[in-house]
Amino acid sequence: MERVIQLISQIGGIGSVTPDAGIYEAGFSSVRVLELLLALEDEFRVSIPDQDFMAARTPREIFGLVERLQEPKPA
Amino acid sequence: MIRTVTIPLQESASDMAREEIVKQVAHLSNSLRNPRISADGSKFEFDVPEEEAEDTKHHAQHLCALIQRSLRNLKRKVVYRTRALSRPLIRGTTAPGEGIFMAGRGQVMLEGMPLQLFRYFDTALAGLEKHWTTQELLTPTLIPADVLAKCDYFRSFPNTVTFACHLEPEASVINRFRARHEKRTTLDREALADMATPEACLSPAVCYHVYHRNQGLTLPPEGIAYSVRGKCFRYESSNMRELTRLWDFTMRELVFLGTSESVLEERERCVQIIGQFLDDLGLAAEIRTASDPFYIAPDASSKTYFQLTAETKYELSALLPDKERLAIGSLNYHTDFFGRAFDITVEGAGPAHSSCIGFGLERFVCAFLAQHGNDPSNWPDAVRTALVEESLEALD
Repeated sequence: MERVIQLISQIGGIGSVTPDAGIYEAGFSSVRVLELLLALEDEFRVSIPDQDFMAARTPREIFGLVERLQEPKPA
Repeated sequence: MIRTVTIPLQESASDMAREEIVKQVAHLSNSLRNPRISADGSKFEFDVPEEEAEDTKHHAQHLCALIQRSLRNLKRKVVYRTRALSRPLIRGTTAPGEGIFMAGRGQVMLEGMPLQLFRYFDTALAGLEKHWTTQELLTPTLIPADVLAKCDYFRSFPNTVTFACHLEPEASVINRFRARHEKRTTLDREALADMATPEACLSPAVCYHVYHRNQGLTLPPEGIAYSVRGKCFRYESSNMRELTRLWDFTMRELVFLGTSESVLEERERCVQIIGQFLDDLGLAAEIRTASDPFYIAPDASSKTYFQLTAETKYELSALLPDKERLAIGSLNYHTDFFGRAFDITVEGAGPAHSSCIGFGLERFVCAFLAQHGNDPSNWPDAVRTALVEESLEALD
């Protein structure tokens, strides 16, 4: 979670956000979403579906999405 | 000497990537011609003078990578398909026929039947606005450069801006210019140095005037709707051709300012109303998600990605010959961008959100003639009848 918050703050050029704060309400610009998405994919080695990413609005929701994608899929 | 440049693509180009690459590459060089993507989507090719080849190739590689990266595996969402799209009939062409005179690059004169069609679409599209209580606004062709800057135009679309220039208002400059041009038929190379820094541009969209007009105002809770029509100018470099992509064109717009909920609701209503209108015209078209051709800049791919995933832009995409397509209008949601930029608020609801529904009138004429042809006996009754009535009125 810490790393997700760090990436949001760095890429968005905004101060630290709390886990349940809406990132766009906290000042994260929508024109930076692709940058954040690609950074998360690189950092956590996952492929994030676009619509799921757009639906995740808080650091906790984004982290939850990344965690789910990291879980090994049943064979 | 012309050279064909080939760029292998990182992965097979999706339909969206194909359209975007071909559309945007034109801004890399004025002399770039015939951009095309191989049938399997594995490579992009274009023709360019030998001396520009290496430089243009370098930029084109960057552009292709940027577009493919920003579009990822996104698919267009279609929100309306006309009946005619399931069995499209293309009877005409996009080549300028009788009544269409190309006056210069991206400049057209209409007369006779194409002019009647232009008027028909203008009136019919204005008629669609009866669904709302709109305020009319007569706008200038010029727009102050600082207004365009507030609209983020110089960052997002610097390649398409047309500046309104005039000579420095000094006798010495004017006399020198006059003397140098006494016998010339074109402007000389020094002319640009005689110009004053432009304080205005030719407006690239009519809705920008609406935001400027409402600057600093607080709107009523129910918001406000405007009906605007005017000339617009977008320099499209080597993309400019026929009626499909003009430099100087006419746009009719319906603009909503209000809360996020209200302007999005109006945009959704418009999808159905405009879809029905396209059906009545018998046009093979669909309303689908799209993105603006942002100039190649570091944040361009992110803007494109946001527009497509957040569905902030829909375009009215009409079929042309050879499976080409033409955007004849668009439905845009700007979030509160213009509300914040122009300090427009909604009573009790904070910065105003906005949406605008724009129609390119010359493009409507183009798509209609391309699909239905020049023979009015093949046209939908409503259009034929309206044009016959107009002709009879003209005789009275």
